[in-house]
Amino acid sequence: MERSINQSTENAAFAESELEKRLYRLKTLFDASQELGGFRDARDILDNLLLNAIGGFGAAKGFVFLADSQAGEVKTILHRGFDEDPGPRLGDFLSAGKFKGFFDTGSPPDPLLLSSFGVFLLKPLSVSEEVKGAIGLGERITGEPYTDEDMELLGTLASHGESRVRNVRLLQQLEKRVFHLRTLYDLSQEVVFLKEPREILRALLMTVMGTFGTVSGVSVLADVAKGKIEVLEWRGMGETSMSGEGAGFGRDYLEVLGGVSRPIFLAGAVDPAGNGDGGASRSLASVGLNAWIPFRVSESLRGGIGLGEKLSGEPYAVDDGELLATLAAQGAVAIQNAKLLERMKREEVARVNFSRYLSPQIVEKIVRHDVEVNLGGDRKVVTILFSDIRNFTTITENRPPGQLVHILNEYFTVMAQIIFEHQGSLDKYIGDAIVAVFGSLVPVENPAKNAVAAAVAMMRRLPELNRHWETRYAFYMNIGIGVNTGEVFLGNIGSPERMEFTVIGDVVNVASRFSGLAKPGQVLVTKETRGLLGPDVRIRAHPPASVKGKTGKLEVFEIVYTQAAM
Amino acid sequence: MNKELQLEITTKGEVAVGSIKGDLTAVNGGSIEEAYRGMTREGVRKILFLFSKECYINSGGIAILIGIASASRKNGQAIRIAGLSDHFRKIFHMMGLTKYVAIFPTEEEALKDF
Repeated sequence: MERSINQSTENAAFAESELEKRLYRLKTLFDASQELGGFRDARDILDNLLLNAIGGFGAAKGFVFLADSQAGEVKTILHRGFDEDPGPRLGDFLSAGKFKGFFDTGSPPDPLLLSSFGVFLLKPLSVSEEVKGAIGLGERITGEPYTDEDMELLGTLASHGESRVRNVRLLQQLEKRVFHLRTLYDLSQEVVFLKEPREILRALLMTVMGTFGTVSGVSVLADVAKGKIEVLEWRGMGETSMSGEGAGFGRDYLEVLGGVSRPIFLAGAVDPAGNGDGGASRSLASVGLNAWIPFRVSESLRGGIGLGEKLSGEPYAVDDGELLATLAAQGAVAIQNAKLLERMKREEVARVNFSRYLSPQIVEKIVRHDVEVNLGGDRKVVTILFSDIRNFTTITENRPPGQLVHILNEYFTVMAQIIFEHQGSLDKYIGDAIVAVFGSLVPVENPAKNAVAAAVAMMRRLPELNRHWETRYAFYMNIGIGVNTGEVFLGNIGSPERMEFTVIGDVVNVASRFSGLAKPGQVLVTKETRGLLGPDVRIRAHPPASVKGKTGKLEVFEIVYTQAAM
Repeated sequence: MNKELQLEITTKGEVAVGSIKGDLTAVNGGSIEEAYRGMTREGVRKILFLFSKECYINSGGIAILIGIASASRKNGQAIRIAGLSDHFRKIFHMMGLTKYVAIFPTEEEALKDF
């Protein structure tokens, strides 16, 4: 009876003790779930999980790890008590790769194998398809074996940990995405103010490198039609592999990468023969790049961004490709805008410069590249028209200067218009004289014919102007025109601050002398010009005349025209 | 992202402390790179970049810091970063910059680590 009471008391004590243990473990579970919620870092969560498990089950030691389940590579590992163990070390357990099969099949490893490594309770962790791991405990300090209920409790604790790590990872991904979006916004704000493609490529490269945390990177812009690298920016690359235009990476870009239209992400070994992608991967690998994102500014203007390994050691993912492509596209638009601005500026300069010599219509054609201009620096056969007002000093004396300026401006404007209409360019005004050139800036089929037609048109227009000036100012003028054809030097001449497109040569002087020979209303041409005129132009030969600066006499021909249009 | 970058270099013992205020971006971060090059020329071996809490650092700015951290390894210099907000500490961690350079919450903690 007494024995029975004792037995009953022992049983009750045992039950109470077991109950207390269970309560303690449940309390551990509750505490852990509360505490885990406060951590924002996966490592801290795992550490807390391990501490709670060791303390909750009274284990002598324990470990927890997370691994890349596909690669079988341990990413994070925390352990307590294993380093002091003289037996097989934890590293041996993990490096034995046994846990890999554990992920693949979901079945626990052989208990004997586990115990040989000092692990007596093991529970898998699954954060995602790729990230898996386990929490393991060594023997209890009391030596008591683990029960099924212990396994169940550890499982519940582990699932709390998994869920918390998952949330933290989601939060990190979200923060990363926000950072990426902010990067996109920042880049769009920054490049707006950049006008040079080099500055844009640099900002783009820096942004991309900072976004993905890489030490090395390169950005390139090239005209693939001309086979010319326009901009090559790099950071953290070996100098020898990037040794400037046309060499190293520049050559590789023009030969191989310029034709790549899709992003390339290198993973693992690259086929040394360059099979599969025309050698693009091999080119990237040869300069230590792991990713390549091409972009297109125009049909011929292409570029790309190359990135080295990430500092984090993570491979480039599909998400990265999307962000990189968006960043590259943003850079391409910025370069497009900068190029457009550059073109507009160039066109404006051309417009201002050419409008001094040519008609607005021709200027527009030149600016739009509908007409090719010869900006020279070479020799060419052209026709010069030299027009001069007869007795200018006499007819203008005693005239108010303001009135004179007005008359001359009207005269020059009308005459310049006629010259432009005949595809001539205005070389300069010398006092009251007009020097026009035909066949220089804009090619014409027969510059002599154009020049003579312009001269006759000027003569026909003058009476109308005279009628206007006579009515208004009691003023009229006569002009004489000389036309000569021959080889001149043409080009932009002057100092860098003031360049002028002009013609130089004896041909200009002779045209000037013929203008001097011409009586009011006469258009005199040289033998060289006359030879280029067709039979439809009526010519009257004058006696040969001496002109200053020429030995011997020159043949003189007068253009016969009626006052009405031909 | 419009605050001008201000950099002031002082020395604390053997450590050159670059105090940074404003926005660190690729466009305006050249002054930090220039300051680093200057310190290197002068033979400085220990550098602390001390950010004010309200500093804004974008990707371009991070690329500048990665470049400096990378160069410092080659030049045998010790670099520490302190004062960052929690947000940027996390970003630096995500970008892997913490593999190259140690980051501390405060100037005092960073100075102690040299």
